[in-house]
Amino acid sequence: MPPSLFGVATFSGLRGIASVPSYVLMQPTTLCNLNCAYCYLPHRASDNRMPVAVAEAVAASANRWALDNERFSVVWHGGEPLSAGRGHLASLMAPFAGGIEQHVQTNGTLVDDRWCEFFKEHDVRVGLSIDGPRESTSLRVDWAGRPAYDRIMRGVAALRRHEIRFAVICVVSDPRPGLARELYEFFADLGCFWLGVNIEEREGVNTRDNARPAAAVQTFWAELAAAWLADPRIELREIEWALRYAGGVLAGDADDLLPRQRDPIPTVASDGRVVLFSPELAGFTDPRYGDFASGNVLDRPLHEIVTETITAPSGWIAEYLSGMESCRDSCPYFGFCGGGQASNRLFELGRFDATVTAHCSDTKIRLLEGVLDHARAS
Amino acid sequence: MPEQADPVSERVRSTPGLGPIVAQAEAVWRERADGEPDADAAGWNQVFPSQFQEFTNRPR
Repeated sequence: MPPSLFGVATFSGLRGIASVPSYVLMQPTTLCNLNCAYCYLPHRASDNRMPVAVAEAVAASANRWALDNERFSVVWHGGEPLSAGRGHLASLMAPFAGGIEQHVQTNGTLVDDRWCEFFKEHDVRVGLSIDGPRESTSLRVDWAGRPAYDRIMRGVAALRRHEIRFAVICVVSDPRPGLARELYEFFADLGCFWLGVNIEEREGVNTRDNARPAAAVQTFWAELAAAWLADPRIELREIEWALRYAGGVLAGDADDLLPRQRDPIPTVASDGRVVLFSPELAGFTDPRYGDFASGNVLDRPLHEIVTETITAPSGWIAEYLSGMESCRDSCPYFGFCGGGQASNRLFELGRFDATVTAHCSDTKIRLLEGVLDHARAS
Repeated sequence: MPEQADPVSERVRSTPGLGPIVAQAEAVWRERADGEPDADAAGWNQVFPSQFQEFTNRPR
């Protein structure tokens, strides 16, 4: 249900855009060896590899930004980043300064002993994508439609064999009763130290029907809260943030929790084009908005692209920032949510200055309400 | 602070049972932070060591 438009507080977080990001997303190749049913990426069947010149151009800015940040990260995303191969990925990582954290978000199917040695040699932090036990992971399939579960689990076994810590991103498509506890128990035993849970979103080339009953989603989050509180041995992004926010409300300092400014989150596509705020927009074009790119690092330094874009926002970015302020002014959940994502606005509602999306409801509103439901029941 | 109370905050404050589970979560975070090398500086970022705690779902 959309939030009330009345009695909304003035939230002070996330005003404006930080001039220095805390991380850069990089697409070493568009290729993915999987063809998951809910994937939003448009060019995942093609191996468009990032030239080393793109990485060198990004590193020239990132190495400067890293001096201004306590932590700065480069996240190798995809496609499947390991599809680029160890040699090429090493060449792409080489221009970045030593203090910069290197992360990969991988589907795990290619992870073996040699990749684990690579992760250790290059001090790479690993994020894995898996949706739970075999049945829950059934939408993750290869291009022949074969389930990827066993290959993912072989990758997990390699990570554990090499004692490499890993985080997990899990996509939930059907939040039926009982699923949350089943998933939590699976992941707590899997050996990951951190879990993020995404309710499937309708975006990019994923046009699957994502309408689901609000009550089912809310119950899912309530059950997940119960599972974590009963056995909090792994970090659980969504539930912990909801509890952190709730604690802030009880303590009277909830308005201080959101970052003061929004991170521009530059995504650098394999060809060097830069898209801010929503990696999901990379590779797409739209009759109204063009290709969403703010520039190309092969033409201009990345820090100049970011600075110029946020100093004088225009086009879709200006519309998006207007939409963010509409969220602030109209939604009582803003202090918890921080405003809806650009890609969800576009792919669900067709423009960037709209406000409430299904993603808002599933992943923010129902989350907080689910945690409150669990509190009432406990 | 927000200039006026909002309905979500009011509902959170009046939710029975919330205080104890928030206290339980805070105890988990304190224990987790104690395991960090710089426990004195333990804050939200320290108890959430991943970069991916931002208010987005990215990356997935």
